[in-house]
Amino acid sequence: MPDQILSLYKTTGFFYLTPGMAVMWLIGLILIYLAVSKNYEPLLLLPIGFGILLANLPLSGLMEPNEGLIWKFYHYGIQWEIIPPLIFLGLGALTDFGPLLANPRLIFLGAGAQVGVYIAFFLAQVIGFDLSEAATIGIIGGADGPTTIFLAANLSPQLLGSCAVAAYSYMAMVPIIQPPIMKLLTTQSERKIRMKKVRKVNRLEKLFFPIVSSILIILLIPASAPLIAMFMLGNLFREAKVVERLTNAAQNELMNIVTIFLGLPVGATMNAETFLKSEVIFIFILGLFAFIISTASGILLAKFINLFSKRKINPLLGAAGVSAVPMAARVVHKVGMEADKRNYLLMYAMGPNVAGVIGTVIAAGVFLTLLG
Amino acid sequence: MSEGITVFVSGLLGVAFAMALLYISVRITAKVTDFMEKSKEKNNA
Repeated sequence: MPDQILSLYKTTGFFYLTPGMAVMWLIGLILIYLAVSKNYEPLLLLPIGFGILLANLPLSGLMEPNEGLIWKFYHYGIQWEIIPPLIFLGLGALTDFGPLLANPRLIFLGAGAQVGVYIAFFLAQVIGFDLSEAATIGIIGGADGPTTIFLAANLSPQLLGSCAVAAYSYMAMVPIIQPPIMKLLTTQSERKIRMKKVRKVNRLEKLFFPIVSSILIILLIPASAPLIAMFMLGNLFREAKVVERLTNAAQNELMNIVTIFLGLPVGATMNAETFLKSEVIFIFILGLFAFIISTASGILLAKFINLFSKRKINPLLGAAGVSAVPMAARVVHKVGMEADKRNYLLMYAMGPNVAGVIGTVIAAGVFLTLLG
Repeated sequence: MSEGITVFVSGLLGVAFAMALLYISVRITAKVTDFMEKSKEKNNA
């Protein structure tokens, strides 16, 4: 009888539970708590948290290669590079490039904010990560979740879960991480700089931008094609103003559906054996470092441009060069308002913010070209 | 290490070059579309 009970017990998942799995449950529950109670990137952290729980339930087989349900989402959605580009289609449909086109010099702030990506990459490989892993860790500094997942799936799938969680966590913490750096690197008078009113952008310009930039960027860095192509297609839908149904679908239904199928498998890649390692701590530290350096380099580049320019740029705008859209732009606006209540920087900050998205995709494309 | 330095330098230069090219294309597009708009207005007038 006891043998039968034991045999029965062994058919349940309880028999195979390990302390590591319990730790992973705790991590999953913390992410769910942050999403529900603190509203930290809930659209992603909620399914990621639940995915972590599911991946650490023994015998569930959900991540069993070729058979598990969530493994299929992961394989066909992420490994086949379908979901991140679809997210970019939605992002493109949601993005207004007007502020960028009205003030094109702000493009450089989006480039300046990629410095952190490369410095973190360099440090990571000095610490001992291989080049592909170092690139995946560095891209966290771009603060762009889908790009991080895209690069990780291509270069270091074993780091996908931890890098994605780090990227989304830091994106959620933009209002906490960025303001001290912004205040440290700028004076009160610099924060008070008011941006000159920019020209009106005509419709043709907005229509041409996704076409011209797709051709240029894809010709220059073919590896960035999946993300750039879909990003610009979404934007073309938006600016063409003749396919409203497609624009709405890309912005809403499609974006929401693919978000579900992105978060769950990303979380499910984080099982106790792959996640509970000392290197994960380094990933989070290096990711944070990359993000801090990206913020600082954007600000410092704006100050550098001001040395040679008659039309001064408020250096706070440089912090929006990371691609956490629109959170980084909102933070710039808030910090600017603290210095001068009538200084409205939000629209100006959207310029470097969307340039940062393009910059991070280009940085990922360059990594793929050199290391893929 | 040397491979890391190569990726570091060429990566930074690659991003800078691509963004500079994007900047130039935006400026050219602005000029071209402005010219097209003005021609259209002139024709209509």
